[in-house]
Formats: sequence, C-alpha cells, structure tokens
Amino acid sequence: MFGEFIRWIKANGYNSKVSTDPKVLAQTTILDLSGLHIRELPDSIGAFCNLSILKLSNNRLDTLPSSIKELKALRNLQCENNLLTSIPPQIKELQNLIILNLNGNRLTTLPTELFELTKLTRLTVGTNFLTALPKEMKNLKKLLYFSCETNYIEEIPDVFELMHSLYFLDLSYNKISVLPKSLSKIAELETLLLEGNRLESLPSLSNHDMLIKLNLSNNQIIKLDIEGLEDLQILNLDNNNLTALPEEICSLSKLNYLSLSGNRVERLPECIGNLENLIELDVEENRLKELPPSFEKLKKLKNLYVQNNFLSKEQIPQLPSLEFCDLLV
Amino acid sequence: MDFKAQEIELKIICECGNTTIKEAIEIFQETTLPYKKAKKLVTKCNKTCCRRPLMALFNMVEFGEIDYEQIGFLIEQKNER
Repeated sequence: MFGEFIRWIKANGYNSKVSTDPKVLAQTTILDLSGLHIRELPDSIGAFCNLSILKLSNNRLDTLPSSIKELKALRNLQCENNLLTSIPPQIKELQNLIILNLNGNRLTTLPTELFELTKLTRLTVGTNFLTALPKEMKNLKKLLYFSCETNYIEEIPDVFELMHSLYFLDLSYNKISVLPKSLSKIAELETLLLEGNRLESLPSLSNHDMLIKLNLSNNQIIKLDIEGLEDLQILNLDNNNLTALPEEICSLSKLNYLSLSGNRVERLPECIGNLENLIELDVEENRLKELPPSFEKLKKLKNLYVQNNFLSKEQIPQLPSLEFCDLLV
Repeated sequence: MDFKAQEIELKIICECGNTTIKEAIEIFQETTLPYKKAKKLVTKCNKTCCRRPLMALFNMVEFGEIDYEQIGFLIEQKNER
C-alpha cells in the first residue's frame, strides 16, 4: 500500500525526516514534509487514509495531486510558501478539513469547490495573486479566522452575513475601496485588519462592540467613525489623510495603543487624557504644535513617538510612567 | 555559516534603502525599537514596503536564528509581485 510512497521517500533522500516502515506509515496521523524542496508530490500520498495533519509548507510545489481527495480524515492542510498556481477541485472531498493554509503561493483564483469545505474554521490565502473572492465563500459559516492579505482584490463580496463566529479578519494590502455591508453582521469580530487598501471612509463599526484590534493604516481615510468600540485596545491609523481625531476617541477607555503617524493632524482632542489605559502613543509626522493639558493624565503612557511635528522637547510633559520618547533620546 | 547562506546574505532585501540582508540584520540587532520604527532605519522610508521579508527577518533576529533560505525565498516572492 505504501510501497510507491516509500520508494519516493528513498529516491529523494527524505528518509531522515519520514519513516520508511510501512507499519509506521499506516498508523501515521501527522505527516511533516515541510522544507524539503519538494517539486512534486506523488499520487501515492493518497494512501494515508488516517492522516489528520499534512504539512507541505516551504517547498516548491506548483500543484497538488488529485489523489489528495483520498485523505478523508485530513483536518489540517498546511501549504504555505510554495509555488501553487491552482488547487485541484477534488479538494472538496476533504470534508473533515478545518484548517487550510495556502499563504504565499501563486494562486490567481480559488476553485468554488474549496468553498464546499463547510467545516473550515481557519482559511488563509494571503500573499497570492487573487483578484476576487467567490460569492460561494458565504458557505463557510463556521469560519473563525480568515486572511486574504496581500492580494489584488478590489471588491469583497457580501459573504459575511452568516459568519457570526468569525473573530479574525485580515483584508490588508489589497485594492479595496468599499467594504461589504455584511461586515457589520460579524458579531464576534475581535481583530479587523484593513491596512494598505484604498479606503476613504468606513461603514459604521458600532455593531463590533467586541473589536479589540483595528488596523486602518495606509489608506486614504479622511474621517473616522469609531463610536461603540468600547473594547478596542489597539487602533492603528498611520499614513492616512486625517486632519483631526473625533472626540469619541476619548471614550475608548480600554485603548492601550494608538498610532496615527503620517497624517496631517494639527491637534489632539482636549479629552485625550481620558485614555487612562494608553501605554503607547505614536503621533510622529503630523502637524502638532502643542499637546493638550490633559496629556498629563496619561498615567500609564510608556512609549511616546512625537518626532517630525512642530513640538519641542520642553513641551513633552514629565510623566513618571514614560520609558521612551523619541524626542528626548 | 555555509557558502549558500553567505551568498544569500548579500542579497538586497529592499529596494528602498538599497540594503542587503546582512546590513538589515546589523540594524535590527543594534536597535531596541519595535518593528514599525526599526523597519524605517532599514528602508529609510515611510512606506510599508518589503513587509514579508523584513518582518520575517526582524522576528528571526529577535529569536536569535536566521533562516537565510527562507528570507531568500520571501525576497524572490516579493520581487515576483
């Protein structure tokens, strides 16, 4: 049963990493073939009917054999950093798959069959050449974690309506200018990464009262609506077109990290001192001429980046908690 | 360090700053700044360029072990885009 696979292992010198004992292979549930410079996977991979985890990352695979459909027990398939240009439609046979990692390949499209894997909870397709996501993605109702960062996607389809449990969504480094309305339906969302897109504004995020991390850096945002984000701890607004921050930002009482470097902000809100849990503030490269008096109330502030504004050292309040300020180095 | 690693070490990791992997390692080793700021020391720009290889290298420097082959792959991957 494993004869052909064992011959392949021996012929390619993978013996040090993979057993060549048929009895061991028959009971194998985890097969780690990562980092072996593999260019082609043999059809005999289909013999591993008990396999639960298959690690193929960091190889040179440009395709997966259709025999992969035989891996009926597979729950976790790792294919990061290969040269995959397509995914065989037979992937739909892997009905027990819950984790699929296709980051760092050369995929231009995803087969609709992939979205028949309705048990998927974690799907990562970042750093590929995707220009679109199919509307069939809406079938993945159990998704908890989805990343399609660093692709060429202009429009995200309205697929999130029933993804109530999604807690991590990374759409960074695409070409998105408008977000889908169904984004607001993701009740459990904790991390939303939208860095490096073409967003000028955002839909209301007020339904995302569980959001902990929001990254909007490197967009073209002019105006910000952050009402209702009472659990937010990390907010990154670097490199946008903001000229001011809304007063509502002062109500983010759990905020630890606020970054808005590379904007055109002329003054911080008077109430900035209300951010009593703020640990790090980065306002580098703005147009600040002064810091509001309430700044002295930031009792937990440890790291402060204020270079490239119109501020002098003397304007930095002496905060006992402050461990680093780039202007004072 | 083997010959292949020495060869990879001389590759340019980012066009911004025209910095080699070797030089970037030295910069990352000498700073205590977080990635976002340390990256600017390497690229001398404010863009989010060369993110994957640079971030991977920064993490490897922090971890104390450099996988040159992996960094080389990530640079190639970036150059193909």
